[in-house]
Amino acid sequence: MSDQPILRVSALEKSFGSVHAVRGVDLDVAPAECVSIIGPNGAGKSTFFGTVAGEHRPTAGSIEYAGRDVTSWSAARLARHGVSRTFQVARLFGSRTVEDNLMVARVAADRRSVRAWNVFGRSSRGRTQVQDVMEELDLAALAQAPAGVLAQGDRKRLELAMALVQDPTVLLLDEPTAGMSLDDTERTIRTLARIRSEHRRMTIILTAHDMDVVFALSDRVVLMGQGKVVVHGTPEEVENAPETRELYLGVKS
Amino acid sequence: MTAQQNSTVVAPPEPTRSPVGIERRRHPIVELAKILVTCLVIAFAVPTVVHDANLFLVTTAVIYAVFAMGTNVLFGWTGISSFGQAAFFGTGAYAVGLTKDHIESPILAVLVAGLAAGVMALLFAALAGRITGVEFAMLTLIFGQILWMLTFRMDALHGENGIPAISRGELFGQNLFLDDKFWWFAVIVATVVVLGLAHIRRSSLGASMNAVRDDPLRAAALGIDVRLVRALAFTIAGVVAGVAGGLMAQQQGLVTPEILVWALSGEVIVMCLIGGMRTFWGPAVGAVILTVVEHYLFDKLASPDFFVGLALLVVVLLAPGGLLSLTTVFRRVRRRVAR
Repeated sequence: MSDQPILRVSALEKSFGSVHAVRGVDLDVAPAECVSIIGPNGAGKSTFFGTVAGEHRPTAGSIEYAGRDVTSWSAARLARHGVSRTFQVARLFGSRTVEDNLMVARVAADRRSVRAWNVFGRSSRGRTQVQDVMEELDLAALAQAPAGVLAQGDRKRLELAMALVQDPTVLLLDEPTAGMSLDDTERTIRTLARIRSEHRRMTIILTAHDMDVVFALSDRVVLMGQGKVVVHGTPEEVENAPETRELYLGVKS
Repeated sequence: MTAQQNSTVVAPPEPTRSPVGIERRRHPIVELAKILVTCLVIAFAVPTVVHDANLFLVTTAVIYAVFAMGTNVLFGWTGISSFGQAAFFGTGAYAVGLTKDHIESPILAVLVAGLAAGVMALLFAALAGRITGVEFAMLTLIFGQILWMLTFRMDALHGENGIPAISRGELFGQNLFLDDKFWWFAVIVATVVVLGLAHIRRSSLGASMNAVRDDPLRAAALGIDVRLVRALAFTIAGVVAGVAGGLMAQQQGLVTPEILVWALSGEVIVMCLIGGMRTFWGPAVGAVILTVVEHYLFDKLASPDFFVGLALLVVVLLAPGGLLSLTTVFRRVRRRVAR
């Protein structure tokens, strides 16, 4: 790797009581790279993902982002510095409109969330970005719909849009196609592929169960099992590794 | 699932499906103007219909309306439960009582009340730190009870007897001792508070409060400082409670520990619930209804609390969003009939 990694995870460990969910994971991610984390249920990928995103404090190890030690940073602080994430089950602000949800995300990225004497959503720059992302993700027709009444596919797209509108340096996608119909899955893959080609500097780390997503998008794949990295390489290398068949495809019921 | 299925082709949901709490966006100036006109109409209309003791009662109701609208910044806007708001109401009242010999201007007195309660609320929020949810609500209750006990113990506060002879002062040559003059003072202060609240509601902070209410984890993941938003909400609610408490001290001319009693913290929640926490005016409507109805029931009934409880039960069961949420239901029905 010629580039300085944008994200460097070293010997990361996370335990919940006596459960060691993540047991020493090392991972360097280069700028503009797309890395997928796969593994069977209980492999620790969600915990790893949540720890990198600042949701959990690591038990041991360190995380560096853009050359800074961010091990103890909160999720909010990471987000303000360009690490945006999505959730496996879409988390939206149900009482407010689609447009407002995106505007909240944009305003937060601009570090203006606690301004009490402005008018929310009036900044023209923010508006343009929100409009652009709504166009990009086919949400424009739903702009004024309350997020709480959206259909599942629309919820997931809004979830993704909220991360994208923040114009992140690192985008963390937790199961971007979980719970989607085949159709929606294909659309999401196309969207993500397009985003990769349009935002060339964006680094993406995603977790997935769906191999189509992984193969369509990733430069590298990390296979986790029992809290550790089992195989690590290009999608083809990981697919053909004997460990993968044994651990992942073999166990898959 | 057919290949043609594409959710964006579906027409956007009609406004009839909007849950309570989503309103049509108007220009902020229009919205503030509407509030100003509403307040002016109330200010002029009420004294032509209501006089003497009843005007005194309605003034009390307006003061409680301010208190309830401030409290709703916590409950309705930010999703914070507090069982100790009477502490900040009482802080404002005592601030006016303690400074009565030094501050002549009634406006300044009310400002001091808001400031004192705001500082108290900010300190409390800072000390409570990461604590949220039920634990936070319990802390507010404990804090309220501690302040209430202090009012008995501290010599400067004169214990049970409280601080008497608080003057309402003069404003622009008008003696506020007269109830019809004080009515104007109370309504003007209330209007300023309501305009301020309306403006904050439309600000980025207002949107962040809703975000924190709907999903704090999501809000944090977007970069919102959830603790700061909560602390600011608590402080704003404290300032407004303090202003209302200051007005109350001026109106009654007396402050006693009664003003910090925990039952008042409960009552202000009931006001918000009855009127509707997801509406802007709901808490004010609830406050007016509860104050006026309670006053007449107390005269006529041995246990008015029973009927307040009953009324709350009926509202919660039949209109879970509060009375003002019924306007949304009403609009929905009318639109359906019109079709």
